[in-house]
Amino acid sequence: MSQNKGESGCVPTNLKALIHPLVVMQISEHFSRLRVQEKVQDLRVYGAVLGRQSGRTVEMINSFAFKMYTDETTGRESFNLAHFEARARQYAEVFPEISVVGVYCTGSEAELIEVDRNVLTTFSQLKATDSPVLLKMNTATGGNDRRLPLYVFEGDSSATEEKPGNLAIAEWQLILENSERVGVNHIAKLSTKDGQETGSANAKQYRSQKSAIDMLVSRIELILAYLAEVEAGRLPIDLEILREANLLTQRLRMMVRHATEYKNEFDKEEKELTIYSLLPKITSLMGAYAQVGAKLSIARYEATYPTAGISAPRGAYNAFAKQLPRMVAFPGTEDDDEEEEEESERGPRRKIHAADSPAISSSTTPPLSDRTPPPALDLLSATSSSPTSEDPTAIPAAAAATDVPDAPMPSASSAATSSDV
Amino acid sequence: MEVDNARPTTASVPQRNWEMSNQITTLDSVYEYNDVMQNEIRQAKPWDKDPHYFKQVKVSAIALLKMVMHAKRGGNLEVMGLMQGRIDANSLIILDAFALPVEGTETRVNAQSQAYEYMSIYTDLCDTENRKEKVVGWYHSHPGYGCWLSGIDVSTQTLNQKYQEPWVAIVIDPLRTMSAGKVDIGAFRTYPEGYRPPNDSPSEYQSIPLNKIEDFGVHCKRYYSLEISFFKSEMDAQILKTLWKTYWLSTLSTSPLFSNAEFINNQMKDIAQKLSALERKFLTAEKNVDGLEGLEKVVTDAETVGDELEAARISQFVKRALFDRKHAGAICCKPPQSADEAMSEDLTEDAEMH
Repeated sequence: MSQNKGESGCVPTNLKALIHPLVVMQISEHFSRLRVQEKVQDLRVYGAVLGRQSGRTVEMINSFAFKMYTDETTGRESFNLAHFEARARQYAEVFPEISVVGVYCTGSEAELIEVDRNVLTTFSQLKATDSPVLLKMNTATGGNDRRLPLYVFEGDSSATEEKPGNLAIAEWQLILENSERVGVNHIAKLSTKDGQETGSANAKQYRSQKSAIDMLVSRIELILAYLAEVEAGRLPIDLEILREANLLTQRLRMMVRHATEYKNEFDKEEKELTIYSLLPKITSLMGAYAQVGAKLSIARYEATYPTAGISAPRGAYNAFAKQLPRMVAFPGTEDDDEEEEEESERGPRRKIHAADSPAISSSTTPPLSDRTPPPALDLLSATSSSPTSEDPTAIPAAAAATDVPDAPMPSASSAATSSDV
Repeated sequence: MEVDNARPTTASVPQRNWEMSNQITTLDSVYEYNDVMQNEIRQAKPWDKDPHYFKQVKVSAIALLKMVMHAKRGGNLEVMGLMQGRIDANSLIILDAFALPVEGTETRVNAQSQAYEYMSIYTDLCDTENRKEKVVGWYHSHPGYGCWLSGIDVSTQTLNQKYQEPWVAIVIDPLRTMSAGKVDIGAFRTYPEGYRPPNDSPSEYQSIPLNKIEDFGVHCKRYYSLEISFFKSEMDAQILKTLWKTYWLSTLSTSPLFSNAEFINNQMKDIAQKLSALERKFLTAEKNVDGLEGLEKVVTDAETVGDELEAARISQFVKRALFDRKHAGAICCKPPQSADEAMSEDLTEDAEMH
């Protein structure tokens, strides 16, 4: 996004630096921590930058701090080589895919001072890379909204202490890994008191989309404002900006040309998404269903046995829960589950309607009979008047085998009780 | 942007004066390190008397970023590292983290000795750099199965709490982090052996895959989780503000549907498996109340997946509204010269809608 404009008077180079926020944050941490701990006003920190180089592109991914020292005879300040090598070896062990590509430093100016040059020269002499780079961060300004105060210099690989070689200023750009994006975003937004953002997941998504759209709008408005000013003759014509703006509108037209393809693709994705979202929807439906069912059987139980007391519902709950598997069965295969879903729902549904009649509800009593045995007369009349239930003695076996709705699995003792009745 | 300013609770008067004269905000005083105080508290060992002594972990921006990126880099392998920081009353302040050359699963106790040499070299180097913070804990990743301590984690943590106190364990789930767009992180300390925790309220529900549930259930009473907050320096805040300016691009150009496809698929598979396990339970077991509770949990999982899908749908629609002008609205009938204008109008409408 941001680019250098050769402020420090160095010749530009075609080297391009891609900087990960992690490096910037590490420099910031290094600086902030030492500033507080060492209580030094004009603090400068130095360190190594790790990354990858391919062709004329340097990717800066990680970093570590240097141990600085001053040569007593020459008064020349640089970093400790033994320390540097030990650290580099350690990082190579954990992150074998990246190596040291350069050094970083901080300061209160955009140019390099003598120590910076010394550090870069010392690093160049190690011959670790063909194009040693130095990343400088200006800690005095803190940057403005659009651009971080970063400067990238390319050193001379043949530099020596006597002849430091030429410096060239390179372009840089921020790049983000996905995990970096989430991490940085998390810190930027969520480090509030409780560490949480309020609102549902969807609200968050709406918010982040909205702020992204706002950014896009503000960018477009900027372009429009510039064009209007140029048209009115108030601003000089910058051909490059005009070209870029033109390119943008052409790209938009390309979108229009491919609109049908895009629409088809979109519709396809949309349909897939809808099918996928059936899973959570149906599952939550099942959950709600089970809740209602459980509550219903408690209510029913209480209506039947108003004197049963507080311990009663559990049994009723169990009795109902026995029927749940038919309702919640939801096999993993995407294609069949809807059909199976319907099938499996038929059972419980019928049962719930049936359950509304007091007759059936009494048939749930056998497993509970170990608590407060109902008056024998009630049970008898209830069973005989029930249109759907069979002979109470037959229920246990049938229930276990065929999952007859509303048929609990009575224990042996309760079966005996009912047959006694 | 509000920031939790985790400043030392017992800042001395000269220190405060110094802060004022140097115009260092209280935000940055979190980096203050007082050798004497740290040694005193390490000698006093208040955590020996109270198993619940540490209640909070405060993590610096850079430590969090390093841990998340390291965890993500490990992919489906567990990675681990150590954290440096200091003690501040009942909290541990994590200032930095570094990775250890250990990968894989279920090898952690052994890894500890393997990593020990690496650690001692690393911290020796830190001493020479004038970095004062001690190692106060470890982190590792649980790719895809949530933040909790497994049996092996519990023994590792217990061992360390015996010999390396103060010590805290942080767990990060890189896959859930990516899918939720929010760092999934937990901090834990174990109870001493034989300690029975008072009946604390159950921690917030989190989804745990079926094949890990046993491991979770057996050990979940042996540790407690600490509250986590994050802090950043003044300069970090400035940098982050600037960095945000580049995020909108990726927010608009990426779709959670594609970047997290595998994770979402796995979650669905897990839900299906849990449901069939529940079915078996209902058919065979006596305790169906448990089954109902299990069902509720599955429903919570399903709702999370639903939210993620919904988030993906939102971004798809936003993209369409922004860039497919032909089908997204009546704007297409405007002449192409005003493309920019039309788009921005469209955008404002959208922004207002939301």
